[in-house]
Amino acid sequence: MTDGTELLAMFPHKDSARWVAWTPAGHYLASPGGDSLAGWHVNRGPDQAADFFSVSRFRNVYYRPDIVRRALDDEDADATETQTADGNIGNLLPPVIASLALTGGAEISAPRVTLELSVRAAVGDTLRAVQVRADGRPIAMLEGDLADLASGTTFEMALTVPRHDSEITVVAEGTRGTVSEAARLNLRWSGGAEDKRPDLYLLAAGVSNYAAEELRLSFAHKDARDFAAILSGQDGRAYGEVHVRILSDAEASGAALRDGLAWLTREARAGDFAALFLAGHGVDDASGRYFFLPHDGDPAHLAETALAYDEIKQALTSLAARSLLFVDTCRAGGIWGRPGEPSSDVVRVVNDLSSPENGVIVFASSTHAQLSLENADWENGAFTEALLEGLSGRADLFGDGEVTVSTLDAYISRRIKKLTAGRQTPAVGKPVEADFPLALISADAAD
Amino acid sequence: MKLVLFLCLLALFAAALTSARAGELVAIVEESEGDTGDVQLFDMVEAGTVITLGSGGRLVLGYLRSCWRETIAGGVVTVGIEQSAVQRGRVFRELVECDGGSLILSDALSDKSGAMAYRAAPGDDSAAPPQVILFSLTPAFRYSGAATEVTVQRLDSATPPIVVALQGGAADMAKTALRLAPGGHYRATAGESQVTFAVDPLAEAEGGPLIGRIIFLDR
Repeated sequence: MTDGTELLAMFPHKDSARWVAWTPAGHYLASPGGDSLAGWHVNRGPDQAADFFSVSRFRNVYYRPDIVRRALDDEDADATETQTADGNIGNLLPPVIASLALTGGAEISAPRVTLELSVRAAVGDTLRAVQVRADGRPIAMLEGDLADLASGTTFEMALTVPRHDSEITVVAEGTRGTVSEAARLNLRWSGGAEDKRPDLYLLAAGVSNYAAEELRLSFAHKDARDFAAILSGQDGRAYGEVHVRILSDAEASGAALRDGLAWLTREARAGDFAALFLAGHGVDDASGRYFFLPHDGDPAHLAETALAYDEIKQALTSLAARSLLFVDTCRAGGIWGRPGEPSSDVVRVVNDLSSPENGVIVFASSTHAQLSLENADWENGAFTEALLEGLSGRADLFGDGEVTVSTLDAYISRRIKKLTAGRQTPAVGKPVEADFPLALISADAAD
Repeated sequence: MKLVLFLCLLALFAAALTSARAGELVAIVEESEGDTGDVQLFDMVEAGTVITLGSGGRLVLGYLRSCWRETIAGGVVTVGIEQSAVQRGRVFRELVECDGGSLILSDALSDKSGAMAYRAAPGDDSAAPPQVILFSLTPAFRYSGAATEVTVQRLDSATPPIVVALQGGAADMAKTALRLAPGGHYRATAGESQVTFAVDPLAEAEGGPLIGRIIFLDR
């Protein structure tokens, strides 16, 4: 610091919620949604517009909370990490969606539409896939040998979109595992209205009674039961039918959780909602991979006994149904060597799952170094307590009888801070701007 | 290293799913062009089937349960539970409107699983909920019995029945001038088999993806 060398830069957004901090080499730490605020500006010569790639496109390499933490300790952390990060950003550049349009315009009255688009692969790379999502859910994918489409050639994709206003996102994947920034289209539906309400499929798992005494919690199992109960009350209201599978304490084994994810994948169809609620311990391994610790999980053998983030991600991102994750796993365990700090970094999970290529709406109990609190007065964790209040009607912020993703986000953000005296802030990730109801509130309940 | 591990996990996950239900009838051939081996239009294919597409080979598969539809050009296709794995070819996957959730995959009803078994057995079916919803005004029918025609009787109004000829165990109303009514409730009968169905009130299209309009009469 004394020689004037820059160690860290930070950009706090004026919304007072999102921020990003980065080192000169590009290692960064961000709030939920904050990794779209900074990025790499890549020139393409004097005659062509430059490309911009947000840091979220390089999350696997450059999301390094440990390096940012060391920079805050007045250490030039980049200097010691040059061997681990790929120093040449050019080798990591993703494709670019150069153009996207809807044949006939964005107002539609039939679900069959044709997209016109063009894609540029990065120099030295080609295309592996182009995926299209509606309101975050996959509706089409072109993949395989796409070399003839990688140089900006315009091509068409005929596909079926939902019979309501929807937000279409398109991303392209390179062969090096890179994913483009999303291109978006808002479609306005002017055809006939659907009269079928979606079904909800909910897998709710909560573990309080871990085998190891130092891991035990008080209300995680009850959180799962109470959350399932409040949404079951929406059967025939916000949802046509609510289908619930609850895994409480010993029922929440690794095998049962995997079977539950397979149940969601098997049963939830396009147009439905699929939700996963996890309460208990989340643990990051030495390389930063997140695991949910089931009842029979062993923190010393995560790969063999815990539910890996990759398994959760695979299940939730492949669903045709709109998918939601509610995760309350940043609780103190006391055996991971960092007393007073959570055992996992759930913000990485939030930002990854809610990115356009994954399309999952995520509600997480806390951010970064915060612990998730529970209290005997509430008989729940603060996160679940706020969710239950919100879904019961307090998050009907406009008095129109609807608790939507956005109003629930707004409600719990304020409520959890109040319940915990500012010690806990929830993290919410939304892949699309489109909002929709999670609960319908009767006039009596709203009062 | 992380990527390799992730790919291994995915492969294990996919392999577990595939092996669990290999041999199950999961998809119908909607179109076939060029060299597609032994696969033909209206064929039902099992999970685990490997299809090699020769020169100019193009195949359209409709997955009965998931409503994913694949247009595959070239390469080697391994049919999966809800989608195929394609090597050295190009595949376009799209989610289409279909009532895949109404098709019960039950081993109890068929040796090859019951992709053709519907939720409720027909009895006095005129007032019962339809067993399947179609998203087209022109259904297609598949039947392996001795009957040579399918009779389609409207259940919610008195109109003359429609008769469609079966050829090679299949019939496609999109290839005739016959059209059903949006929102109409019907019963299709071939020999001893019958299925009740409804046409989605918003259905406008004639033809369209087979998995959005197929009726299986093999009971």
